[in-house]
Amino acid sequence: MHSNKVFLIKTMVILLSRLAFALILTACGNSEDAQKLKDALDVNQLNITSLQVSSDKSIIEALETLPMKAEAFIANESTPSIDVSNKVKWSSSNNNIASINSEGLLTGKAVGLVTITATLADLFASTDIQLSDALLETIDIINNNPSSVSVCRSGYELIANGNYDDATVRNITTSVTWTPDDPTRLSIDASGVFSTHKDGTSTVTATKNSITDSTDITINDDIDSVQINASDNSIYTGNTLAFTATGTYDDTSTADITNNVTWASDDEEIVSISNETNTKGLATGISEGSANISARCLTTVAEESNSLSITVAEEPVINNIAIEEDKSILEFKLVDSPEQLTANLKRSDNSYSTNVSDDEYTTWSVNDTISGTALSIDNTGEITFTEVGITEIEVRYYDNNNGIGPFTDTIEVQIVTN
Amino acid sequence: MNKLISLACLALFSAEFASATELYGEINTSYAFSKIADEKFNPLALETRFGFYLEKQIGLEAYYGTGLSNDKQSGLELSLNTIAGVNLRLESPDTKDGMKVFILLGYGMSEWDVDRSGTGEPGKVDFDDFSYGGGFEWRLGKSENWFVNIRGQRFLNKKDISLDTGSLGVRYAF
Repeated sequence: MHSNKVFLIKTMVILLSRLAFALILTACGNSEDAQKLKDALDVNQLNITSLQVSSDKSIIEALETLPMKAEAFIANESTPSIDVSNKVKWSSSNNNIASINSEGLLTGKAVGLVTITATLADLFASTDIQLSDALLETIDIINNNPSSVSVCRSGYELIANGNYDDATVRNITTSVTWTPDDPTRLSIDASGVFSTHKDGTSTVTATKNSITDSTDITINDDIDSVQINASDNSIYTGNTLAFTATGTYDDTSTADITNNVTWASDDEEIVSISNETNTKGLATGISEGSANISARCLTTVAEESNSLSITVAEEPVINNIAIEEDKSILEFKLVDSPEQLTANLKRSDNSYSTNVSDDEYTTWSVNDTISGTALSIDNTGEITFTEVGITEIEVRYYDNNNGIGPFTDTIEVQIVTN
Repeated sequence: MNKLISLACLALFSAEFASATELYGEINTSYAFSKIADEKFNPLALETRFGFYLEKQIGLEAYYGTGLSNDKQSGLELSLNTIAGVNLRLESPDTKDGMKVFILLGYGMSEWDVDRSGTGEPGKVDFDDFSYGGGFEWRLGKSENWFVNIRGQRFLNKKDISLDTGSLGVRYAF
């Protein structure tokens, strides 16, 4: 019997070892197969019929990077295509010439031609990218904006074209370095989009491989007025409120200039306001009081500005409960049974907060029978009555977990004949 | 691949323990609850199990199953080619009525065949994962050997993909 058991256990160990070995061999396929299923389902659920791969350029320098885009075309939809660049599986026909990551960013490694393919389930699309060793000879900045642009305005664009020694002209807007001579007058991002902050002339330079080209931008003092807006004129301490600024120009056009103006608070100890890139115009309540928020567009002749007053108050705290918004007595007719009572939490500024009639922390009870027959009340605040009388009802709220309460309130409920 | 491993396991069980007295065999019909992202697929499967008791109430079993029907959702047709694996089976003592509770802990593999809108893609996919489950078993009448059971078992729980089964089975203890 003992040898039989040893035999069984030995065999079991052998079996499990064999299985474990087999599982190690197959385990690697799990996540890949899961993705295959998910992709196949996505294609069908989104009604995708085909894919298309595109990029801003078809020829790049050997060591350049290039974002690739994959679009999926949808059957029977008003939206003709959707961007699936982050959903497809990217591959390069030759990773020694160019590799591509899962987000579709191609990285050039050597001169040659590669085919970039995007695959989603059984659908795929490809495009060829030429990696060239042609030398950049000159840069031309193309300025398609008006001869003078408006002050305190965004969204203007510059394009950089590169002239190469193989006689090709390529758009190199995103691969040059854009530099304004005075960043307080004009700021420009990596894709050649610029904003103006002050009138005058600004020189913008595009640089790549020590080759440069420059262009002058004339910024016109054509702003008539600045209008500030906010969704509220009061704020609690510690809370934020977004301000926006709208500029009106000589040609009567208007533009959102929130990010182009200089924001200020006349009392930073009451309200602070941000001039940082991603939070421009965002005010924060610091302490109780009032302060003026202003937005200024700087011009050489006169600055256009506007201000708005904002009041800061301490945020009221929940400190009480009230039945039927603090009524002392309620009257119901006998025929109207049952009736629902309402209890709301109450703030320190006497405003009413959440309805907690049916809350897990709320307890309803009959406190006293003042006359006649007592009514009955359930744990949601619903009262039932069959006789006339006056009953005092009590509600109690205590959220021990969050330290709210205990608060109580009472109300007299009088039941009268029909 | 999985099928071969499973058959090998079954062959080993059958050959090496044929003379043992603590063997059992079982057949189950299973309703699968399979989920890919937010779509649910419910194909049917048939499973056979062979096992033996290491100790009283502790068994080791191997199983192999195959699909009986397909299910189709959002144009994706799914069938279960293979379910296979091993379980440790832990049983409670019989009640007076001949009922027992059992739990299963093990490792399982499943091979699915998936067809997107008649394209044949992505085709065969396979998964493996720790599996667990349990069920109730009743003695059939006064029989010493025949039992009927119901069981639930989770075979696979990966991100966006899962496979569970609910089964009705008949077990014969040799």
